[in-house]
Amino acid sequence: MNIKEKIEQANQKAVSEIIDADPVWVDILPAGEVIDGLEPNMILHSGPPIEYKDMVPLHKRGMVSGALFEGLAKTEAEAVAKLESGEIKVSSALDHNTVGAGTGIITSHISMIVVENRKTGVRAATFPAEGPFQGGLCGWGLYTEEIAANLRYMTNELFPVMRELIHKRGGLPIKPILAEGMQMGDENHTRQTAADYIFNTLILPDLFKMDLDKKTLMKVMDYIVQTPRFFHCYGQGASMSALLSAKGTPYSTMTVAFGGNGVEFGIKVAGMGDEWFTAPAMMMKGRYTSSQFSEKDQLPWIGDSCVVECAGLGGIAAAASPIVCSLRGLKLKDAIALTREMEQICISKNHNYPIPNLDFDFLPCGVDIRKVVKTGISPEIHGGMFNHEGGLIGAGSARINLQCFEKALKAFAQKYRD
Amino acid sequence: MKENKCCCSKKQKKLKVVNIGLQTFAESLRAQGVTVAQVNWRPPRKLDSEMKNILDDLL
Repeated sequence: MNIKEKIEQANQKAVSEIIDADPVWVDILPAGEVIDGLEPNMILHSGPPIEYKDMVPLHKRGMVSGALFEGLAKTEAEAVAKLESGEIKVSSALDHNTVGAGTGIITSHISMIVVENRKTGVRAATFPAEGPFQGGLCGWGLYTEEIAANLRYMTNELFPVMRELIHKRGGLPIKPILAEGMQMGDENHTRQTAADYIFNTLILPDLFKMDLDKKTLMKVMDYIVQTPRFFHCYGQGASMSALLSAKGTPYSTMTVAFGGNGVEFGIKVAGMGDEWFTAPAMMMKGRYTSSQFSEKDQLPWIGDSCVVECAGLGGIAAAASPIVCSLRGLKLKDAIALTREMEQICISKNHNYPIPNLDFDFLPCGVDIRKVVKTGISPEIHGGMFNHEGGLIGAGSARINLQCFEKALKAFAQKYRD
Repeated sequence: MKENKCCCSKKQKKLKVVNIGLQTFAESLRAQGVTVAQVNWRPPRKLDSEMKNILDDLL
């Protein structure tokens, strides 16, 4: 078998790990119990590895916030000193079995949603939205007494109920929710409105069957129903558990991780293990929440939620959600054209996701670094825009820096070419 | 004087265009009521010789 045939065979195997994955929500556990390699004095962040001193202010603040929440330091000054000295370790979330959405601040005692790929047994953990604080500590790197109190409340009161619920249920399959949601206008990155409703319909009856006092029941229900984009963490967990199953496939040129840290954007490739291929982080194009914002307010790409694109959702699935595309002035035909363009750089189509706007054709799946370099077409990734001080200032999209793929392909050739 | 028979004359057949590549050309014609079939195409990407050799070997 020549090298081209080996790559084709490996890519079919790798993409089948995404297509045939069976992600199921199985648990809620402290990060320290479910994330491989997360040490008690370690704080995770989004994007490729970066030292504390080189981080953007938003990440630095998140690190300090995480240290205070975890009790690794009593004051901000102490946290900074420990982060600078290395006494508090920092590590990329994507180098573990988790996803650093937004700033991606994860410490041992953060409660994580656990999604298991039942085909392979691989587990991925993602942090849920923080109710009224939305991004809060983990996503936006913010820290106040109220945010800390809410995180403790979620851990001590909300999640024991949800944990019992999901255990009694025997798990909740995620793929059918993603599939149905994408037939109802979601692309499952910027928009999961339909998925939220479907999730609620499946989960709330089980909640009401539990032996709970009314106050507790109403609190849990309010948290699930009123938290915007509640389902987002489940889509990320499903994507990551599938991508981790594909990681390490020898000879495969399929990407298995995307993420940015506000300085650099990085990708990983199935056949290249945990090696990162990085380039300067991209700016986003899209719509701001206020006319007072412009590109100078925008932080270059930060966050790992684009693992969903790596698994064939989000920007790859633009045709499923013209509503999201219309936020930045695109028409239905543009949304369809975007997904059709993505077909040119993908390995296969995912038969789980027939899309009405594509006349029930399937979504493309599995980005091939060779095709990206050859065509110059880079994956479209959706996301929120952060400003330099924190908080969301808009939503839009970016194209991953092509240099990531060029570096990856050169390294791949060096490793595998005869 | 001879009658001016330009291609835009109403007496001529209705204009139908196949536009290859840049989509804005198609959109501006559509805005003027012209029937346009769009063919998505872009020139092949220019690559340096090292990258071209890698792609020749691997793709």
